[in-house]
Amino acid sequence: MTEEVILSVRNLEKQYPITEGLLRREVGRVRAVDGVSFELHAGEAFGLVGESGCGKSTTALSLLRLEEPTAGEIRFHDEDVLDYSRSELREYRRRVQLVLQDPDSAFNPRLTVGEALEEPLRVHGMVDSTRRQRIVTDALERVGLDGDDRASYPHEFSGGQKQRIALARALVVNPDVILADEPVSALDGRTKADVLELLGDLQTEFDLTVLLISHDVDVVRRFCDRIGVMYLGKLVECGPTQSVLETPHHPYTRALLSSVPSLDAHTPATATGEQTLTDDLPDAADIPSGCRFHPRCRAIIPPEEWESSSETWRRLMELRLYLEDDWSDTEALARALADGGRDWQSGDGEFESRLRTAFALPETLPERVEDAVADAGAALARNDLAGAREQVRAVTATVCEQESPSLTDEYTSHTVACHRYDPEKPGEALDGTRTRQAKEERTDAN
Amino acid sequence: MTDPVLTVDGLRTHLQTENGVVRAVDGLSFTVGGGETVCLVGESGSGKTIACDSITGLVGPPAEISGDVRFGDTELLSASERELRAIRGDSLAYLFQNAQNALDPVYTVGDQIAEAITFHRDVSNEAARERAIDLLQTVGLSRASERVDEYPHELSDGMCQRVAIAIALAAEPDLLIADEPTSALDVMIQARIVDLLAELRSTHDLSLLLVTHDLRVVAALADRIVVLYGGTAVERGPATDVLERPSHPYTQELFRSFAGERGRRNRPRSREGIPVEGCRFHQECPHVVDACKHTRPAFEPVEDRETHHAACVYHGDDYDDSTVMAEVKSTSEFDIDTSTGGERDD
Repeated sequence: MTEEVILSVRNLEKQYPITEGLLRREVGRVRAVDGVSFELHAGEAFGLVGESGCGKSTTALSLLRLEEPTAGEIRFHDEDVLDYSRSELREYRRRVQLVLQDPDSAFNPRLTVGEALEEPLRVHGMVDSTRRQRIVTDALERVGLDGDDRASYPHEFSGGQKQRIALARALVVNPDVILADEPVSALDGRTKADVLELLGDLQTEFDLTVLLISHDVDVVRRFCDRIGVMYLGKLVECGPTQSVLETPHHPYTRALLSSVPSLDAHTPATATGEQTLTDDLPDAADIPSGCRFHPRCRAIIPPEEWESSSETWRRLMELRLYLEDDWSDTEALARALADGGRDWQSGDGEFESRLRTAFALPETLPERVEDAVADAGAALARNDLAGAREQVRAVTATVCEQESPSLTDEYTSHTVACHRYDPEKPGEALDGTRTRQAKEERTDAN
Repeated sequence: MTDPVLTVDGLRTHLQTENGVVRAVDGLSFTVGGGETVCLVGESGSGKTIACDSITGLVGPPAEISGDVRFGDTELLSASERELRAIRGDSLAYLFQNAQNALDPVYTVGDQIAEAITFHRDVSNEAARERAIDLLQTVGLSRASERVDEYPHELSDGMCQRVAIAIALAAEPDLLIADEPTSALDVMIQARIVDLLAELRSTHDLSLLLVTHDLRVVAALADRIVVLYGGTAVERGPATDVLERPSHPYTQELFRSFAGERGRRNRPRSREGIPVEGCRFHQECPHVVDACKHTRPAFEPVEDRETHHAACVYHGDDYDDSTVMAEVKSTSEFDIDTSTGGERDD
C-alpha cells in the first residue's frame, strides 16, 4: 500500500428535503450523510461499517454523483469531482465502478450476460465488437466462470455466480477504484467466502482500491486494511482495522462490537454490558443535538458538578429518556408506571415515588437532583409533561448533548469522535489509555 | 433428557418440477427435546426452510412428503388440516425471517396478538387485550400499553420482530420454530433478539427449533446442532462438540469459510447440482474415496463420543478418521479478538 491518495472526501453532505402539501413546502431535512471525511489510498481496502440507515450507501452513491452531494468536496487524483464536465464525469465513472448488494436486480433480465458486460464498454466508446467480446470472455474467466456463459441469461445463474458476473462487469472497463456496497450480504456460507476471496484476488491482480460497505463486522475484518465506523451520517471512529476492532474507543463502536455474538459455544449470552440504552436508531430527519449518539450512549458524560455515582447518573438519564418518549399524555405514562406495581395512590408524591422505584434511584440524591425529581413528579401530577421533562433536563445537562465532537487526531491513524477522548473535555476515555489525569496533564501542557 | 417434543424421522420432501424431481429434503432425522434448542445449520438451498415448512404442513401437494414427524402425541404428516390448525399457533408456533411481512399492515399489533389468543382460547376481547399488553412487555417493548394500538408500519424492524415473537408466544407454545429470526436485522438489534430468545426459552420452558446460517447465532443459542447439506443431515451433536470438533468434511469447510481461510480452489460450484447418489458432498470433498460415490454413508460416532455423529465413511470402521480430523479447528479460533481492554466508565 502506498500513501498516494486516490480519492479524498471532505465534509461530504447529502440532505433530502421533506416536503408537504401541494406546493411541496419544505418542512424538514433528512441528513443522510452529514459531514463525512476520509481518504482512499492507492491499493488499499477501506471499509465503512454501520447499521442500516447510517448513510453508508448514500456516501457511495454521492461519491459517484449518482446522488448529487449537497455540500462538501470530493477529489479524485486531486481533481475536483463536483466540478467535472459531462465527459470528465463519464471518464471518472469508468475509473470508479460500483458493485451493488443484490445481484438479482443488478442485471437486465432481457440481456444475455455477454450483452450486459459489453454494454459498459460500448458506453465508454469501444466500437470494435470482436475486441469487446474478447475482453468479456477474459473477464468472465477471471471471475471463475466460463467464456461460453456469455450467451446465458442472468436467471440461469445462482446468486453467487451473479455476483461474480457483477464483479466482471465492473472490471471490463479497467477501473482504479471499486465501490462495493454490501457485495456479499445477499450470499451465505461458502458462497459468501468465495466471492469475498475473489474480490481480494482481483484487488491484487488489478491493483484496485476498494471501498467496501458492510454492516457485517466479520466481512470488514477479513477484507479491509482500514475501517470507518458510521453512525447517523457521520464517521465516529476511523483507523486501521485491527486497531479499531481490538481496541475500539467510541462507545458506539464498543456497543456494536460487543453485540456480535461470540463463536465460542461456552459463552452462551451475547450481552456484555456495553449495550446501548435503546434499540433503535433515531430518525435521520431529527438528529439529536451534540454528539448524535448521546441518547443511546451508556458512557454519556455527567455534568462537571455531578456528585453521585455513575450508576445513579445512568439511571437518571434512563428516567429522562423515559419521560421524553412519545407519550400521548401523562395519563398514559401513569398507566404504564402503575402497571405491575401496587395500586395507584392519589397523592402529590405518587408520581415521584413511582419514578424513583421504576428507575431504582437511591434514597439520597444530590440536592439539585432531589428537587428536580420531586418537581418533575409534581409537574406530572398537574398533567404538565413538558414541565416534568424540563425539570429533569435541567439537572442532566451534559457536554455530549451540547457540543458535537469531531474526529480527534490524537491517535495519528486511529481517530475517534467522542468527548471522552478530547483532552479539552470532561469524561474519561473508555479504553483506559487516556485517564482523566493524562488528559489534564495534556491540557496543562498545552 | 425428557421425551422429545418433536421427532423427525426420515423426512423426505420431493418437488416435481419441469426438470424432474428436486429432492429438497431427502431423509432427514432429528429430535428436539423438552426445553432444548436445536439448530438446523446450512447454506441457502440446503433444505432447512422447506424441512420446517414440511414439518408444520405448510408445504402441500404437488410436493410429495413422506417420513414420520411426531409432535407430542400427534403424527403431523398424516394429520388433517383441522388438526393442524388446532396445533399451529397453539402448542407449536412459527417465527418467520421477515417480521414486517409476517405482520398484517391493516391491523394494530394488539389485534394481531389478540387474534392469536382468541383463536385458540376461549377468552374475552378485553382479557385478550390485557394479555397482549403483557406479552409486549415480556418481549421488551417500551410503552406497551400505547404500542398495542399502533400499526406495524409505526414500528421499527426490531420492534416488529418483537411483536412477531409476542404473537408466537401468545398461546404459550411448547415448541417454537424460528426460521432465520435475526438474519434480516441489524447487528445490535440482532443481539437483543438473540438475548430475548435465550431468556424466553428459560422463562417459558420453550423448545426451540432454530434455522440459521449464522454461526454466531448458533454458538449463542444452540444446545444441539444438525448440519444440513443437500436436504440431508451430515453431522449432528451437542453444540460445543460440533463447534469445537467439526467432523464432517462439509461442516469443516463451512466453518472455515466463515473465517475466510484461504487455500481452497475458488470456483463457483458446479451447475449440475448436488449428486443424489452416495454422499451428497462427494464431488466437492477433498477426502473423497470410491465408497463415497455409491452408498449414502451412515451416521457414525465421532471419536467414540456417544452423542456426536457424522455421516462420513472416515468415521466408520473401515477408514482412519485422522485423515479428516488432522487439522480441525474450533470456531472460537476464528473469533474477533476484542480485548475491550480497560474498564468501562465507572
